[in-house]
Amino acid sequence: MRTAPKPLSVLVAASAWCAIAATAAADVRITKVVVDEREMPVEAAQAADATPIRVPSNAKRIVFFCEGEAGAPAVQKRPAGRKTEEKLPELRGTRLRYRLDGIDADWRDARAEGRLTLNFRDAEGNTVGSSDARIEGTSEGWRGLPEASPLTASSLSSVAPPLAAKAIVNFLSNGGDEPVGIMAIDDVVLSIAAEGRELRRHALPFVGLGDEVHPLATPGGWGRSGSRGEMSRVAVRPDSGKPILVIEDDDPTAYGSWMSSREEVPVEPGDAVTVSWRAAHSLGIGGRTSATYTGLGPGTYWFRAGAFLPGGQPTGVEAGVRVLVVVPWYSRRDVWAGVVAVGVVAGALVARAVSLRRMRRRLVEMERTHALDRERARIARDLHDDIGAGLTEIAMQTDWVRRDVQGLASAATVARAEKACASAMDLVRSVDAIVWAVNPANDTLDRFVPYLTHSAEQFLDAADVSVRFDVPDKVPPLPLAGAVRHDLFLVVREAINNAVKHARPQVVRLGVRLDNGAVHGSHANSPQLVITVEDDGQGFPLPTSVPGAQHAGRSGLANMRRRVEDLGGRFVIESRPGGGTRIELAVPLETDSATVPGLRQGKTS
Amino acid sequence: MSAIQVGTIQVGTIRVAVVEDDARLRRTFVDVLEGSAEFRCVGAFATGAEAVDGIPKLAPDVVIMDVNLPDTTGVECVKILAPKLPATQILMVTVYQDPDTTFQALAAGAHGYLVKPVLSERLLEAIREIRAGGVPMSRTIARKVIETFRSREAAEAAGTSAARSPAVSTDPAASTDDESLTPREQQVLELLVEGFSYKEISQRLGISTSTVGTYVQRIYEKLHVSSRREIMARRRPGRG
Repeated sequence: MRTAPKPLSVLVAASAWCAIAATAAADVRITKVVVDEREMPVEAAQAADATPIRVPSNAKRIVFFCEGEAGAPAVQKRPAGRKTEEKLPELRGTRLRYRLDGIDADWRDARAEGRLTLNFRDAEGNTVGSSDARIEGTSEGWRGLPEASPLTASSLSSVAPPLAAKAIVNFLSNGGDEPVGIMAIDDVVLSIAAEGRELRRHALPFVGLGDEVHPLATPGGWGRSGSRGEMSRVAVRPDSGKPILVIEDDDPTAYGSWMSSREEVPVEPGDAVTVSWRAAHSLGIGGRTSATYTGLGPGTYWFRAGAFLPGGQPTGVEAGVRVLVVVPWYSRRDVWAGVVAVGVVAGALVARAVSLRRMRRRLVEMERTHALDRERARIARDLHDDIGAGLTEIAMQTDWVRRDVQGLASAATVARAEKACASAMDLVRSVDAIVWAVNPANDTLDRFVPYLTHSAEQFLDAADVSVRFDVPDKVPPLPLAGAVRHDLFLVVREAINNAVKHARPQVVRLGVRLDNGAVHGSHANSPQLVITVEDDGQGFPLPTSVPGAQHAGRSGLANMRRRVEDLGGRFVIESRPGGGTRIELAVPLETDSATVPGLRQGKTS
Repeated sequence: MSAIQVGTIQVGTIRVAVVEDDARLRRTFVDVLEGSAEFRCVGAFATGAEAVDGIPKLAPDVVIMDVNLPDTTGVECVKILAPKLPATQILMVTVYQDPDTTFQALAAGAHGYLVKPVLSERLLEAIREIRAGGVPMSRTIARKVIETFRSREAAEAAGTSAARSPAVSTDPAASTDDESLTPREQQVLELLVEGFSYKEISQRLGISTSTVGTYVQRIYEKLHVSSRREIMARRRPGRG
């Protein structure tokens, strides 16, 4: 479906050579590195003096496999600052974390989750229903231990099923994937609402622990369970002096749990039950994992896997693999200098050949990798620094030449200099548009709308056509991907161009609004961005029944429509001779930012 | 558009400093300036640090400032230079069509901006314009200006603004009257935001185009005054 990337579709690793060198450590290993389905001999490299292995490939995708020693006594000591006088069992397993230096700013975890369960029982104590809140990743502001970390409020709501007589809260470290990590809760409150009754609130406090709270003490109304009771402990927050319930899970095959079984909160079927709590957590995995990175730009990267304490603190045990993606020709300044020297005309040809479309296709492909953002920023910078500045200089120099020869040379010569200058100016603007679209800093609606009005007013001012804006005062910073932005920009520009070129209008109106209601059922819940371009020019008959009766000067219409429809949007044009033209385009906006771009990972433990 | 006013500027050369990191472009700017008898280039700087250090000593009439510099941004340089050199006018030059950055520069104390590529005539014309006090405000910038004034008013009404700090409000030179927009200025801004050109505004309000320019210039000044006060208020912790 896709053609092989041509040299100038500069995005990433197109013909990169990778050199991989490895070092090893005792308890964590990089077991395998796979570059585009080909396995690299990592073990050999780990044994000797890390002789680099050169791997010719079209390195699109690099997968690192690593493993730690689940269940092994890798850690003998508690971290400093912890009260060690209590008799606590030794930690048994370690948490496996990884990072790719050069891409990841911090250590990452494979996905693993714990749960908070709202459990309904009948009068005999049999479970008749439950619902879950997943607890995953690391909570905001995590500082290694739950006692020192901020607690974040969450809640879970459910309706009591038939036969339900009581509600129980269960906080446990096993969900879909069993984690290695620490999780803690406080301020657990059950709220029960039913029609015709007042809202009942049952706090489930951690009481009866005495003045000196022992980690293995049990608060009244709560009980510990799970694979090993000692995974569930009580800690006291130094800031408030209040106890919290902690599950410290150091074993991917086991789990810990705290359950409110002893305090039975009565409910009736049909009651709306909400459990709210505050939690701090940091969860990862033990055992094995793999991490996939796509689109690595040229440079040196260092993939590291390390053994960590359940709370995320390093033990110092690490293994690493070095990846060198060599610099391809296109980012070399001397090559660019040559390109620029070819001159304005050649420049024009090259830039057109670079085809925005191919670039956009590649961008769409890579949209979900966070390497993309870095790469995009680099490309934007390179384009700006090299091509943009070079072309700007050519424009200024040819303009200078024109001024020098004015009155001395023939009119034709002056005209040629003028034309060269105008071409260079056009190219600078094209490069500008690409730079703007490529730059990830502009990936939001509140950046896009001013850009659109700014471009429109500059164009219409130059064409001596009045402009009116109908744009909201405040534009929310909703995400808007680079490819979408660029398409929308091109369509609007085309619409305004058409108006000025064919309709001879007095005024062009540009409207932008956000619609929350659905126009087409498929995007019932996402807001729509609606852009209108309206002119009071001469209008034209719309090709209605006769296929192919496309208006001669407006062959761009089909193109505009296709672009908008490719974005899942809708394109409407109204025009009649003497009555002006109105173009409306509506595209759905992606508001779900839950998918974290960057990397896909699999776990096999 | 205000080239007619050239005769009213001071006689003698206009002293210009250039801040641009790209060596080729810097050279071109200098050539263009030196190629005209009207201007003199008194200094050309490649980095923000050099510019912030060197320009106050030169006290040029106009600074041409690139938005993107290797060590800092042009906006940061404006924040430092503008309070030190009240008589100097700063013209921002940018490649990106980036209204956000342009607005930040204007709020920090710049008096106008140019989008690259800047042809020699346009550069010289813009310097003349800025000296004559008539740098046009685009509608997109006008929208940001109006937003800024509105949110400041809202903050002041709520009594939460840093501008309310006693350290500042006892300063008689900076009473709120110098900062809030007059109804006429407000009207000009609102028409700009809707898309009206200077000429259309002048017809609508029955004033001359250059008066529209004067209103815009006052709006710029008010924006600078209140931005500067906000910066100062922020630099005095514990007073707000």
